[in-house]
Amino acid sequence: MPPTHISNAAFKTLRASSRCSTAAAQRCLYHSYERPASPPFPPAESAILSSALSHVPSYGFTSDALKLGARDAGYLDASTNLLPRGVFDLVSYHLVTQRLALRDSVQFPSHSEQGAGKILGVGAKAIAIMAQPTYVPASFAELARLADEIWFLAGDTSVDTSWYTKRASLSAIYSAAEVFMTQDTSKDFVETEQFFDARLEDAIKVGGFLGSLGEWVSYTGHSAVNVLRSKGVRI
Amino acid sequence: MTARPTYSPLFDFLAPSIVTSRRLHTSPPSPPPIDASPPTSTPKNASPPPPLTPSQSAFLDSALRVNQAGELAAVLIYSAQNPLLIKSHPHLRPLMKHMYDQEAGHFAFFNTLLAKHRIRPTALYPVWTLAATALGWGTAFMGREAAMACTEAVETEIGGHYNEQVRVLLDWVEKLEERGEGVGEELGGLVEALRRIRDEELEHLDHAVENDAKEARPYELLTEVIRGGCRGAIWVSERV
Amino acid sequence: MPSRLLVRTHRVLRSAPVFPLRAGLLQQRSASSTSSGPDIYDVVCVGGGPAGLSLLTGLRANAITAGLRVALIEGQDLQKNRLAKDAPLSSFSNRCSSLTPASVKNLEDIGAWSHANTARIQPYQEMQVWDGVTDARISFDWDSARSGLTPRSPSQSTTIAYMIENINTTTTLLSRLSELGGVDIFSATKVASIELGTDTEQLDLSSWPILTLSNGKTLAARLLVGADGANSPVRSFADIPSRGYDYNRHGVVASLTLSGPGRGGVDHKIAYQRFLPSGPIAMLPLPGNMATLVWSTTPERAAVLKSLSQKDFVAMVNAGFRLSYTDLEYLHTMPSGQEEEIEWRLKHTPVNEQAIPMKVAEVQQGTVASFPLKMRHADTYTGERVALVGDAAHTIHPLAGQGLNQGQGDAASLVRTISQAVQTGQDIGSVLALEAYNSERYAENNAMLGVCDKLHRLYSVESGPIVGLRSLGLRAVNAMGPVKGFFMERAAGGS
Repeated sequence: MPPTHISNAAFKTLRASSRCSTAAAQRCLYHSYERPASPPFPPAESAILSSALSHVPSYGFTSDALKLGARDAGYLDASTNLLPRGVFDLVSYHLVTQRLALRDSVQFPSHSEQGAGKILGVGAKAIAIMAQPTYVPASFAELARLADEIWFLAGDTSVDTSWYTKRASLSAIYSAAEVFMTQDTSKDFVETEQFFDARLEDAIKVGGFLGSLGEWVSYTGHSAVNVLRSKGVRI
Repeated sequence: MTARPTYSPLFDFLAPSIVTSRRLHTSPPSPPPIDASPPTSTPKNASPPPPLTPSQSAFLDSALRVNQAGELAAVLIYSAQNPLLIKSHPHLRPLMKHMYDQEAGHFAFFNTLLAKHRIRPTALYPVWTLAATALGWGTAFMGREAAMACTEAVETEIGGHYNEQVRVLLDWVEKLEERGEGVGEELGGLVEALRRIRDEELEHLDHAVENDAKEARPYELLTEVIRGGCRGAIWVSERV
Repeated sequence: MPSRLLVRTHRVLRSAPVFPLRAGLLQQRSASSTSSGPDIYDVVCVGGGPAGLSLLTGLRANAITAGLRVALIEGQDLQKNRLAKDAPLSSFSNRCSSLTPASVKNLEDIGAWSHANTARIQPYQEMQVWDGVTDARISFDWDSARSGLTPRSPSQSTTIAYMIENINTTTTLLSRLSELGGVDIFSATKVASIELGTDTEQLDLSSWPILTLSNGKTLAARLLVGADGANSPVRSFADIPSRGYDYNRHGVVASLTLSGPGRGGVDHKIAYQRFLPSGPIAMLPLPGNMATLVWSTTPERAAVLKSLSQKDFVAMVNAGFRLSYTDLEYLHTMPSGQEEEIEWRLKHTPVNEQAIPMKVAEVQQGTVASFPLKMRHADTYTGERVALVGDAAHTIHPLAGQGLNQGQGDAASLVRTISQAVQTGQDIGSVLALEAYNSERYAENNAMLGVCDKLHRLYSVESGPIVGLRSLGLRAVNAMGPVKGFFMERAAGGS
């Protein structure tokens, strides 16, 4: 396939738009039902990354996969410079598309997946890429978005401090399960699922205990004030 | 009870005290909002609503977050003030209940909105909980007039804040209608709701003034501190 | 000089009650001018349960408050729900309560106790309480509760409390109330709405609660008493919040027939309570071979128990006092067939029969029921022209049998407060007059609620260091007579 030429001006626009629109579009913001949000990646990047993903099983999350992907999409090899974060963008693309696909898998669950319970399993190499200091903030942000997506699809409607604690605990459990998965050798990663379920149960138990502790503290505080008021103390 | 002066519909939302207090502190008067006509429903030949720009999305995000935090504070202030006020002034019970019910309704409305549109609530939720409870209890402890002055100060800030939001949203609506694009149920409904809530908050302001809010001593210090605190809390909640 | 004046006013008040006259005058005025105006009462009590009836009986029996115009509103038909005089002793209601000696004294003071159907009341002299996990035991009885230095004298009663059906209590109070007369009873009538009145030319009722009944009548209450249960409409009218939490437990009740009159014989009845991690199981004695069961357990297990056949249910109750907690957990997972399973397991479980209740022979048909357990406490018992008594004010865990007794104590305290207000010429509905009631009862009830809540939490733990500590504590208290006596006195309602 003859490589398509991209003019310099178009190149600059693409790069500029990729930086700011990617960042803004991916922030957790007002989600409108009438006005669908613009796609997370601009068209050129999407094309390159989606075809690069098909090479990941053979080449892993490497720049070789990116180059082959660019070639397949009809761009120059050098157009991988469109992606300032290199292989991390490939990992990120994979995570984002899987996260957005969660919604469909929850509404139309297939037999092989358990919807939100399915762990993406990016593998040790991807985790290593994500753990690089430059990319750590972006990785955390993506993890937080995933946790938010899972909670939303599970029907969570909390809008107080528990919004934060729920997402924090799920993020921690999910990343622990991801790491566990890298060394899991069981068939269909059954052990990882068991690990995940066990950690979820622990979290629910702790949450339940803290909830009833909070209830008790609140009740005791109010009743102390009420007893004093009943005795005539003007508080 | 003095008769309420009638205003023209354009300035109907402006309670007397907002106008007076603004004049006292010689701050530039806010421009009258384009409040006259409600946003028209989507005309048949209009295109579907375009996607929200990032800045619009960010505005809605922070605006609704602040609104939820504000209503949380209002509900807690009333709950803390109620037992103390009712004990010494039992005749205030129906009024306090009416105001509390309205605030609770606003709080529930914003909670559903935040959950539906996946907006992050303020991270300082426990801080605002403590602060609002302390403010309500403190002002009620100081007396009925101080409690009413607190209500007056908070409602003044909140009324102005909602008014500003309505203005921005009506601005968007105007631009959409100019381009012939549909406004959509979400935006239209939100504007209506914010208007209604703003009017109810200003009604509370009137009630507070009727109940001798201005007799509180020290009036200036109390209202200035509370209004400053509200402005600070609004600023922080928009971001955190 | 002021003291002499006070004495004189006292005498004037005693001889010619001012309030009823005033109320009567107002009523005449309203009757002549506006026939549609509300009927004015001094005290309107909403709710004809034990607490409400005790309050009204107390008001009518007290010479000072006997002149007040009072009304009772009860949604159910009071006459239909009376205990028949010749009710057979072979069947008992499943809602029974344990009346403490203090409550009984209250009932004696207002002249109601003599109307009670004593054949259906069972005083008991001993209570055995033990830990279901470790078998640590405490035995409450007055002989062991007194130290060697102050042994029990023969005249002092050995009775800890009296088991009585709730219907017996209400019938007793109704009999005394009809004997005293002077109460306008609106039976089988619901309260349609409660609102504040209006300020008219003749009357300023703007702070008075006006009740509209389902039969169209309107009453104005100088003091509105809410004795209308846990979801009190009077409490909602007064905007008094009620705080607490649900225990996520159900109390299963049943009327049982035992295989004998009890381990101590007919004159020494024993109550038993075994604390299981899912909740305590209690068997309380009734006259003859009868007993009543209160088993607090999780909602799922309560549903299982209610669905069992008679024989399986009887076997489960017997197992509840004999088998280990693990066995019981397993038995609750079986949909049926517990009888054989328990019989087999009991063969292999060593049991000290003397320390536990006699075997249950039968359960009375249709008496197995359950109710959810929760704890609630209102923020205050009084508001302007409003007072709360009984379950409207507080709801408690049944493990210490204190709920009904707290209501009786509330009613007695409120009668004293109203009487004091009448004597000193105050408006009985004013917040100032009612303060004494709140002050007297709130802290005490709060303490009792707290203790029962903590006991429930303490005994919900299945394993760990807490189990050992609580067993140690229980055995220690069992060994220390004076400490045990202190707890028994507190539970009996003494001060």
